[in-house]
Amino acid sequence: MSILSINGLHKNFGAAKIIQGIDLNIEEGEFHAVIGPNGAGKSTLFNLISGQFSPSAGEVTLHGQRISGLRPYQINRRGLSRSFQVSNIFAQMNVFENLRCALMWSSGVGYCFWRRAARSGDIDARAHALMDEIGLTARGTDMAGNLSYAEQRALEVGMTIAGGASVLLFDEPTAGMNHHEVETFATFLKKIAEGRTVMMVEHDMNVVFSLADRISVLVYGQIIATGKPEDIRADPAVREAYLGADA
Amino acid sequence: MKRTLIILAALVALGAALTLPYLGAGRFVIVLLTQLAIMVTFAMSYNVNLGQTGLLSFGHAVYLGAGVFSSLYLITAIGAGHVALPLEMVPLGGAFAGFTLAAILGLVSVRRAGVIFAMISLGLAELAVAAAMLFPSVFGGEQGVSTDRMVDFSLTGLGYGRPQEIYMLVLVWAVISVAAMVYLSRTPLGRLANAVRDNPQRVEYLGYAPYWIRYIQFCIAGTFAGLAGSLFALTYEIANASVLGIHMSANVLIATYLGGITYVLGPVVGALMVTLLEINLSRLTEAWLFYYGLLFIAIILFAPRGITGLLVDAPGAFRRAGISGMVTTLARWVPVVGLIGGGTVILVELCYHVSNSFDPREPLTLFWTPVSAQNWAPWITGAVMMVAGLGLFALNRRNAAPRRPQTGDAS
Amino acid sequence: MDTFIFVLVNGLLYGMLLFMLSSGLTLIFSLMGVLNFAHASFYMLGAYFAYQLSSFGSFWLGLILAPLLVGVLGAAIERFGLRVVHKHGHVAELLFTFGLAYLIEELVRLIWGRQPVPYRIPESLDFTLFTVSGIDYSAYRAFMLLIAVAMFVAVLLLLKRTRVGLMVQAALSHPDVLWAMGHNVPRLFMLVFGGGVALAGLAGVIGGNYLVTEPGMAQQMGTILFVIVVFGGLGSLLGAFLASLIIGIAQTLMVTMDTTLSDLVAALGGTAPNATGMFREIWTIAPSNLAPVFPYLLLVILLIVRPRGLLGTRDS
Repeated sequence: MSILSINGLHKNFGAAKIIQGIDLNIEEGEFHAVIGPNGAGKSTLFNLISGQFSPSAGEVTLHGQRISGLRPYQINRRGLSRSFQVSNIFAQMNVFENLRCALMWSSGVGYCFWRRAARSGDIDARAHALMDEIGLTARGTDMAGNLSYAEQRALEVGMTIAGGASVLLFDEPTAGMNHHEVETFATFLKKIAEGRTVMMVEHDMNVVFSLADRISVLVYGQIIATGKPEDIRADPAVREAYLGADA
Repeated sequence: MKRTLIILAALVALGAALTLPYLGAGRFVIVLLTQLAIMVTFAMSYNVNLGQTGLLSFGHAVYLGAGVFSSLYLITAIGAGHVALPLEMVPLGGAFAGFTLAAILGLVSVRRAGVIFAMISLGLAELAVAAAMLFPSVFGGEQGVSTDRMVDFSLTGLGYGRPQEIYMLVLVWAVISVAAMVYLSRTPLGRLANAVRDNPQRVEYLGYAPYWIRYIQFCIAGTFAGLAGSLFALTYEIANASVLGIHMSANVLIATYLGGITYVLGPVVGALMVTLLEINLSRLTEAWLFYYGLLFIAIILFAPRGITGLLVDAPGAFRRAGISGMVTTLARWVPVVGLIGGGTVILVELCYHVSNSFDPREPLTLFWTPVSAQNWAPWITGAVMMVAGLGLFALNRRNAAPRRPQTGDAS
Repeated sequence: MDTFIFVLVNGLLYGMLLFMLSSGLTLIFSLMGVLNFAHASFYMLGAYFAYQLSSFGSFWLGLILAPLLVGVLGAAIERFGLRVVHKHGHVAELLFTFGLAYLIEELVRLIWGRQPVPYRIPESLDFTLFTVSGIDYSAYRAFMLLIAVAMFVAVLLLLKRTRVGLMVQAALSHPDVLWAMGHNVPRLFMLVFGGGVALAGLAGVIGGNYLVTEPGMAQQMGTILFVIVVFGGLGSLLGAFLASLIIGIAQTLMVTMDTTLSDLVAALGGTAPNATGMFREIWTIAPSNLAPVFPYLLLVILLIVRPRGLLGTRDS
């Protein structure tokens, strides 16, 4: 059974039909990339899966349970976590605190106000380990708002994986990076993805084709093709609609 | 290291506050210290909303009022023998009243943050004031509700008739409250509140409901505001509806912001400063509220992290600038502040004298000099000082602009 | 019936006065994201400036000059104050305008004293226009209505016909668009802020002598304004218009109603319980007592039921 399953998904904003019937199954452990021209509805699709919007029709199931219509925090608790296209961090808190907040729910502290955060379970140890993993240990006490762009992207990913979610959605993780940064970051993402299910929207085709197990092509709110990278590369419909100019 | 310093400073202040009454301090000092302790508690509770959770409230005094009136009635009931509660425990009742009201009104208040929250708090505050006016049978109308705190039922055996005794009680509760609120800011909830303040959307994607975080914080703020209200009731033994009015809410907002909302202990600094300022300034000049407003605007414009921010930044700024840099900076800015400040004071006092004093033809004393407001000379002096100061200010800004990046607050 | 119409006309007049204030407040909020706490303070300044000018010359001098002065002052405050705090976020901006309201009130006390000033209706308009069933309708009220309607038309034309107006309209529906279009946004902000508070100033000129010109007038008006813009829906001019009229008429109507709960019980054939104990006033409170509270009650209920307001499209 698929870990994440999208069935007949539609989303309208007034008269504008942004998502027009998407069916997609993501298998456990898969690295699935979604590509498509600007305005195809990729971000809307992510917002529908993660709970920012609720669909006009259709549904999304996670581990076989319906999640559409739930609030983002409820979906997150069921094991789906996402990153954002524009870094979405706590700018006025330091890196360590950012990660600590991201770890709290999965550490089972809830809305606790009777114990010090530092004494609650193993949060601090986990935050340090995570900081190591994303390579920000040296910047632990710096304000997140003062980090470099690439560092903020790394923190963004760190906060996304912190809760131990089984399914991760990455929304254009390398957006705005220079060529060198993209390369480093792709390696980093590959490492992160091990043992997890990942769905990623990405514009950089090198990143997409080097990381993805399968690729879906989204055009005008519909998926025109899904398959292995080599199949997608060879698909005439995709070439026409999307890769045309490059190929 | 930093935390140790803060705790040390707090302990020193506490020690001083505890010993002062026995050093033969006068009644005036004791009353002032009591007022300070109440204001500090109230401002700290306000910052649980504003600084920690990002909720700008224009109606925090409503919860103070809940504590005040519930405690006034509670004390009377204890005195009459209806309730068996030692006087020392009355603040628990006030805290409970504040909590209850916040728990009810919070349900409708914290659905949104930002401007909407601010407007709801204002609407609720206006409603509360109006309700208090409509029900003199509960709030006592103009003359208010009064009680007698000498109820002959205490844990310590003290009668609490003397100001010193009530001061000790208020101080103990204030210290407990401040310590509790500092502690709360370090719990998971406190950290999450900061996260909600910075970016509620992200919090929602980390498994938490921002609504609940705001709600719990709002209830905590209400609880301690109620406790502060209880201390108020114990101290003054009388209150009317004005304690829950907009003026009181505005006051705590200004005090907290002046102190610095981004620091846990900022409100303590703010409350101390504002209370002292109020007392000293109001004895010096009738126009003190105007100066107070000016100070508030100046802090918002030039030092958004408040007085505490300035104090924290100052040593570093001095170290970086060195002696010569410091002298240059001072040489540059002291005349500006002096001219603008002096000019403002002269003009304000003249205006005030002309429009509000008993007899405008009487000379007034300005900077130890008798001056007649009927002459043009003092007016022109004031205006010239203002213009010169503003000109220098613009000049300094232009010169300093390229060398100063964004953190120019301290200079 | 005649009294009812009279009250309705008065409510309409009050509502139009409210709209002169709330329209500017809404424009400023829509464009800049700043809920101008000091908006009613500029209304107060308009009244005081007009009083001062009319004591030098005539009422007509004040009518023209006072709103201009207020507008210039507002533009300067935007340029040297608001723009500086803008980078610290919306809460800082709200606090700044809050501090400003505080300061302007103190300033007014400082210059004109604590007591109301004798700002009077001009003699040329101080006569009875017509009389309906023994109730006089003064010419000044008609004049106020005329000014309010003229202003309404002028603002509408400005929005529909001028370039600045079109930019403002674009910003009303799509707040992010302006920045993308590369217009001189800071200057537009200054213009709109200055223009908005000038409207408030004009309302002060014609409202100050109709009501009372005193240091408390800003605070009294200020909170009602917030109710109106939130009630109408933040960012909606039409919403602000409807809300102004609804609140203006409702408040005026309520003042005339003095049936109490015990009257009601008596009318139904019962007897009101003996009024003793706490909250005994509940039996003797009439709608007229509640008129000042009504807007806030409406605000709180509305924000619970429909946070975006009557016609608003944005949540906050």
